[in-house]
Amino acid sequence: MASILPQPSESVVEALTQTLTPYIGANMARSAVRAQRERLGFEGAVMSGEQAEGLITKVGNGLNVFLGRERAAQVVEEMRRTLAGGDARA
Amino acid sequence: MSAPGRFFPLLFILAASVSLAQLFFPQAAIYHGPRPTLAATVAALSKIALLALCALLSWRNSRALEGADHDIAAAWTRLAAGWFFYFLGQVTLGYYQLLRGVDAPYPSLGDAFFLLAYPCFFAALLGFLHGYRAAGFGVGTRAQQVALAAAVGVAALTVAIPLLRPALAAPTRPSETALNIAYPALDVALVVPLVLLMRMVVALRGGTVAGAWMAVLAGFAFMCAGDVLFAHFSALGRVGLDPYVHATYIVSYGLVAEGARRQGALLA
Repeated sequence: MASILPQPSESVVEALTQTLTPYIGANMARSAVRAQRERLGFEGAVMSGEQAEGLITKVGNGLNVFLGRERAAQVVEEMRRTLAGGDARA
Repeated sequence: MSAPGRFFPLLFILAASVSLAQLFFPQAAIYHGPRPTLAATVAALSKIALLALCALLSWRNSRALEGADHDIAAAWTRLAAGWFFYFLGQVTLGYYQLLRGVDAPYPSLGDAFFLLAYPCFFAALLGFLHGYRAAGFGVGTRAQQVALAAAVGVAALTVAIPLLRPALAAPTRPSETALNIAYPALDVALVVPLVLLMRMVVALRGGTVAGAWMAVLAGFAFMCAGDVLFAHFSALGRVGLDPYVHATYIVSYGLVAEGARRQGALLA
């Protein structure tokens, strides 16, 4: 599996929001990702691969309540794939 | 969505239409003849079948979520228990209406089952609110939630008190009056967590989860409306308006079953 490279934080938030939107809508997706980012204390303009991975895990755990463990795990994989293929020119 | 799933809303809308059509075609044969009439049979069996579905599908969601989130699974279990009590209440009414061909006494054992459902509904809705907030999908701060709950409670009471005045003043037996007040009063209390959940569902709009929850909450709203209509018409002795009440309950149970089914599809 390709690892996630450092990326602008806003790009990470936007990519995760877009992956979550079909399930929980754009508004909730954006606010949930931003809230989890805040909780994790990732305030910088650039997010490291580890930080992005942590954010994905946190957001994915939350999705369990709506999608169940298996479907949420699939969405987590989708988020990882999206970010692993993302723009690394941070 | 599977083909049978796509047509499910049409089924319960059709069943509700059978009751509602009495207001426009009162002379139609299905509303007359020996009891139970064909229309009454359709209404009673639809309600029993839909309530069984509400309980079963909620239970299935609970099992599917057990390994994912214990709090939310427990909330679905409580919801299933509430709808199971409602199912038992409706089966009791069905015994009188369908097997004995008479009106069910009011109050009856069925009312005991209906009343038992309310603590389950409250516990379920509060459980969903707590579980979704804990998972990071809360809307607003806790203080905002409390303020909204208080405002909704006051607004609901303002609307309910004039509506319930005829029920209180009607020359009915004390047990009947108590129930005519109890059902709408419990519904008014139920409106508070329903509005808080609705706020969350509005934030979820555009996603598949919102569709499931919109149906469940609309179902509860129709149930509250049905109880208010029932109390109002019963107190006024307007039995000719029963078709409205039957149709409202059928749509209510159908919407909850549809919402639980959609949630199940997300978990499949």
